[in-house]
Amino acid sequence: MRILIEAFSAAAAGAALVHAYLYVPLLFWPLVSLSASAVVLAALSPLAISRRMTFLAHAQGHSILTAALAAAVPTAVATQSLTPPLFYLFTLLFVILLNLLVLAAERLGFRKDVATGVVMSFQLTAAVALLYVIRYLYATALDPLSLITGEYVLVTWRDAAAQLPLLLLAAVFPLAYGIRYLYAAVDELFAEAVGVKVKTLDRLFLISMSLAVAGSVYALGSLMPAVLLVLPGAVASRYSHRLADQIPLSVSFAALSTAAAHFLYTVLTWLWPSAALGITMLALLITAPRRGR
Amino acid sequence: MLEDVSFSAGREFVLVAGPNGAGKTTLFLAVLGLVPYRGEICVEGLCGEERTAKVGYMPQHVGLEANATVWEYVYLPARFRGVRDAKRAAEEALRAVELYDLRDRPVASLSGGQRQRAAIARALAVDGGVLLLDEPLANVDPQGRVELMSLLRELKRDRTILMTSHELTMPSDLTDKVLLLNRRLIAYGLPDDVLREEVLSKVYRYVRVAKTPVGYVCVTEDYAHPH
Repeated sequence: MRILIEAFSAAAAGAALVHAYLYVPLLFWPLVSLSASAVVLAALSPLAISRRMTFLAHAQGHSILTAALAAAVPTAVATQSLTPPLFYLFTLLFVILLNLLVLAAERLGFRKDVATGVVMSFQLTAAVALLYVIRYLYATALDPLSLITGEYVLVTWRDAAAQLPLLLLAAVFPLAYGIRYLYAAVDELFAEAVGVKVKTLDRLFLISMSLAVAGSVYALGSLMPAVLLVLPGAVASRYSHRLADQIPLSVSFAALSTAAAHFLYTVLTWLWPSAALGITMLALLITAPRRGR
Repeated sequence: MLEDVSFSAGREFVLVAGPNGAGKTTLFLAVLGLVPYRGEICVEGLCGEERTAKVGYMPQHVGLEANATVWEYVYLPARFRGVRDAKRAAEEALRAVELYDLRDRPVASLSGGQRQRAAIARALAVDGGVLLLDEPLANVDPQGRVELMSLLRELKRDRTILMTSHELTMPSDLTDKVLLLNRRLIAYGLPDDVLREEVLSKVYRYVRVAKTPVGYVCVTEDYAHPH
């Protein structure tokens, strides 16, 4: 089952890239960027939705929007546009700061759901304030909508190259520690008893997630990375109960959805690719087989 | 907080008893180096961090609601710990608890008794002669309890087993020693010496003990119920 899904996803991703290269060259680099972002975020997704980091994963969605808006201000001051890599670096900085804020809020002693609400309230308030600041101060340089939806069609090979180091670094954690971290979610105490340094892995995961988000925000916008940190892992968990399958399946479904999003966008040009990607993921989730127990 | 605890155990089965909050789980965590402690803890002659490689542990909550097969649940910790031939260790552990045929099943699909056996198999796959079992009898039905006792009898032949339990009714051919805790060591010795009303009444409000031909029947009630 897993091999079939992997093979089909790889074929679909390849077909989409070939189609873009031959028939819609303007969309080739955007598709490369979107695919790379989706695959790396999907590799982190099973880890994000595992029991341990659910709270952070929930808060991450709001962190990205606020961080991207906050990063846009110094980027606009320096370059009068959203040009990577400066935008990536400022986004990374603010995502890490906001993630630390999420963990700090958890330590205030609130229940996790209340802490999530408190952090979300702060971040949404900050996002509204920042949107207004950007429109007021940089109306000619920045379009606030592009911060939310991403600059997909404007992505060039330079932008894809600029995001590559961040995504490669982000991919190291799931490749090297993915199974250990997933097992820590199964039973943290036992994992520690056999020598897994769970708290160190928590910190590395946070950094890895921040790198992936910062590297994908230019193409994907500030909302869809949160979707890609949740849905691929959720779909994978519906197709297999094996721990070892979760990351490969999650990545496969992300690649498949990206290919589907590309073809959908070429047919329905009003359907923004990252939204098409999310719709495809949701369709996969809804139509996934119910696992027997 | 647990203080003034000093004991040694050989290849035998030690029942660790005491009321809620007595420090039974804390004692195990200290052996595993997962909580700070003062003093010296040695296992199989190893007194530093390396002693944890000699210990197999079954926690009270065994994490069986996740995405993992029975095989992964048992094999992966052995691999993480660097057990030589982890695959073989996991296979032998699963055969010992008679779950090898269910190795491809999701752990979440196991029955209560099977879950306890899977958790024991996981501890067996990483143990180096010492097993710490935290409340393995909790949530097990009478049939499962009989099977578990039978398994523990097999395992104690070549291991040191420390098992916590609120249930003090134990077969006499299984229990070699009893360690009674209540934030400190209250008593440690043979069941005949510890499972007595005058000793148990130091930590339990209500105690009745009867020795039968097959073991001890103990009825106890805590002084205080923190929960």
